[in-house]
Amino acid sequence: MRGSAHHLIGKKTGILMLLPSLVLIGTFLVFPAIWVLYMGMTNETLTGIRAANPQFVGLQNFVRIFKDRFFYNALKISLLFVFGSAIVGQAGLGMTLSVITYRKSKKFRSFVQAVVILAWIIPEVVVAYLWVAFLDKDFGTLNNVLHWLGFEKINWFYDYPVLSIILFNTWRGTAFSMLLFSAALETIPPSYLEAADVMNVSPWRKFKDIILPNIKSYIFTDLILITLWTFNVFSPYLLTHGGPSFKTELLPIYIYRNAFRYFKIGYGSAISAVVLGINLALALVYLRLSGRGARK
Amino acid sequence: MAWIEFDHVTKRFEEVVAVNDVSFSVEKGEFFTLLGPSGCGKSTTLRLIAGLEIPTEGRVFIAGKDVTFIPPGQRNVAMVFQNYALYPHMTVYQNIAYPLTVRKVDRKEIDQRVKYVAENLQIHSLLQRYPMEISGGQQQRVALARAIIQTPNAFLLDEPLSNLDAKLRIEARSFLKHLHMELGTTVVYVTHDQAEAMALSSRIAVMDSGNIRQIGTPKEIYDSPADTFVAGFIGNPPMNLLEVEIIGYRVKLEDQLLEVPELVEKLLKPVDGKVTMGIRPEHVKIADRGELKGTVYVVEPLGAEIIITVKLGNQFLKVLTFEEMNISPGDVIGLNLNREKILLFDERGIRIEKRAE
Amino acid sequence: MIRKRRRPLTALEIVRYIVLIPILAFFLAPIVWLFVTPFSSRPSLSISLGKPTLSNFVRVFQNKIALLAFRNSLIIAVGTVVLVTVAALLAAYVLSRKKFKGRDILLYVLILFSSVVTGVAAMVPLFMMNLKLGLIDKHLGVILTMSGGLLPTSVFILKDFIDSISITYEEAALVDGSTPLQVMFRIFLPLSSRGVIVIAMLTFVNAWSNFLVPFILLRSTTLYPISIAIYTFFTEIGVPDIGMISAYSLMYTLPVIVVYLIIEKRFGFSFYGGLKA
Repeated sequence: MRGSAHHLIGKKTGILMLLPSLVLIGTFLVFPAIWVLYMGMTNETLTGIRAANPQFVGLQNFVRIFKDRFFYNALKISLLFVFGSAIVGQAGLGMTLSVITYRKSKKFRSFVQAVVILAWIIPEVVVAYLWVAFLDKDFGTLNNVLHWLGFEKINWFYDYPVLSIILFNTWRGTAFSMLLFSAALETIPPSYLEAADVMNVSPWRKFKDIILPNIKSYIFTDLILITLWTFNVFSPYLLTHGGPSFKTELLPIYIYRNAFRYFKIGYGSAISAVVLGINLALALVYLRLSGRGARK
Repeated sequence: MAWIEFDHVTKRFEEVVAVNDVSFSVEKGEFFTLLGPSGCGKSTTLRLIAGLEIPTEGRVFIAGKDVTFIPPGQRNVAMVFQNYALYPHMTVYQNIAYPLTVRKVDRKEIDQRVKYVAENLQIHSLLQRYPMEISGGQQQRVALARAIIQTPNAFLLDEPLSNLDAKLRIEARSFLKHLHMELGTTVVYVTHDQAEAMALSSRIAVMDSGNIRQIGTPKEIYDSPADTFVAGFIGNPPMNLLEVEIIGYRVKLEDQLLEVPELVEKLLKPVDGKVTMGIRPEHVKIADRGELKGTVYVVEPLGAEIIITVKLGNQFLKVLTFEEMNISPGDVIGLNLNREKILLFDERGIRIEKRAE
Repeated sequence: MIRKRRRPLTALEIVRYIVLIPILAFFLAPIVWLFVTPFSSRPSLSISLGKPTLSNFVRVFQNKIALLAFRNSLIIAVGTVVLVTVAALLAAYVLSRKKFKGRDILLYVLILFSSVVTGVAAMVPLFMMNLKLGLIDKHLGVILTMSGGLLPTSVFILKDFIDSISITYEEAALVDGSTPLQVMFRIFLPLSSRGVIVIAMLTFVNAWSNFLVPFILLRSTTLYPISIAIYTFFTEIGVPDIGMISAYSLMYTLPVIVVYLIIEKRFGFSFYGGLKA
């Protein structure tokens, strides 16, 4: 109900102040997202005769996508990847870590969190190189440990390519879920658990009856967000380049190959539009779940 | 012309009418208080004087000038906010000096005036501290100092005591009153605390849902409230408001009858039927052979005085007495009302005027 | 002397450590390499220190592309920080202090698009946008593209932050006789500096670490930021100089870790998950 800002900034000044952000976001976020739909209906390429004057081909590209076995391959791997690394890996480990450190000393929690956060903040390309080294067949740390324990060395990227990138992405992204769940646990009034302590409730029942119901909405939020992000992750490309023989070709890598390797902009746009559509659905669910609409 | 004048001012925020066609004037040197419950429009009224809001309709005058559309900084008023709004990144000294600094007053003069004001308010030892480092009472004085240093047309004080604890509040209240007497500057004061308003003001405007219910001196407001809202808002405990029926020269309260010929005769218009009867707790006396009978409900001794709540049928009546009494809940007691002090309110809650003596 | 009495470990706590230790080992193992190999005299893909040396770092400074990339990364990161911080602050102020029709819808749309338009799928139209604007293979294109992506969340966080600053400070300053510009520079900016610093630091980290945008938009080796330089180093044909790459990677990573430590220490690890792209 307060509104004294009219003395500080008038209507015109207000619009002028919004303008830089709106222009940038409009040009480099909103418009491209809409434009991609149109481009997906052309046969635009960056090389060859069609590069000069692309033609409108309607829904042809979209029809082709659903006949493309590489698309189904990529979709299948992406779903596996999201399920394995986001839902099982990140959310599972994140929950485990946040529960393990819950109601423990600040020092202990900070230490555990710092280790996990480190994996989250190191730049993408460095992380990729670290995992190339970690999983290397002859010299990698993992195989060295396995060898020392008496196991055979494993050619991870060749024999277990999907598992490799799932492990990698779990490692990379667990911090987010851990932090979100830890924050969620903080919202439970300590008296709830203290009351349970007095009643001598078992740890498992405490988790199931008190903790879980109270952080349910956070769990949904987390699952939607990490699904959305994992679905769009490109880093595995730096590890495997989608190989061997398309076994780790996630949807983003499939798009990259078509648009930026084969320069099929029209077709690449069509796939992008499909992926952005899936993103949109996830984001809408997320915004609906987070309730307050325009709030984060 | 009055020093500060509101001429049919209305302020709307989208669909909400915060101030509804309000007119009043404040004389130079007055301590004028806007009193009312939260959301009554008193703060908006103050902000309209400060220029922090622009009226939707009507005009505002300060010192004979139409300031309706003049920005706050040029109205030469000083404001103290409820949270004091002391700039956290500036020292106490810089805070007090700020109004002069932005008006590009000579540095030497600023220094003199800051020191003078600080001395006066006994905060000179705090000048190099930051607001976070001093107590609430001290912050309040710094905020006052920042206002005083401007020698403004008026001080606008928005609940300046409400962030202090009870004991400090009484102290600061006396201090404020003394300060006003010393400086003689016009003050417009906003509060929801009727005791504060009574203690400090030359005149009080009682507001409710965007309207002024009554303007008057504390005594006028206390003795002859314009309506049941004002009657019920002022006084601690407030005035007893009882539903009664006037039958001829008698008042019927629940199933008891009270002869009140003088009262009924003095009324400016004939009254018959249901009205509200108002009587202040201190104007009810407990007497063995009282004209009304009631059952004691609660006894609350407060040290100097005792508040006794008495049940009369389905209604409650509070009695304020300074005499020690041996009364306990459940006792049936007699009550006498001071006829002179009885007020009657019509079905809309407006006081029914009495002829002057 | 008071000695803290220790309870014996309960069964539950033993389980706790049995679960925790392997997890921590999993998270630490790949990272150890990053902190050991740069100082190793026999750098390889396995963790071995040998005799500690700084020669790997010396070779970074002898590498022209590596040095050039440092400069390029700085240009891109600083450019993005300035653009995002200034634009976001201006917009966030209006969105926080002025109520106007459609404001909530605007915020909703911004936040929706910023979560939807991401990753490679977004890079296809963004590449075409840059192509049409003549911004391919230019730092400006990278800066503008990253800014567009980072702005919505930055605006949002800053708006939340400004909402938490009581408007009475600005009002008091107005009544005290300040001009609007004086209110902004003397009162508002000092009060909002914490939020602005956080946004600037988070933007820096994001722009500094970003791989995908320059990877798609830049062509010339001389324009590559560090992320692309490292990528070309380890995918190059021939035997990669592991020692140099690891030293370079460590130098590249340190500013990021420092920024997060500062944020953690000064502001608490504020939970701004959305901004970590």
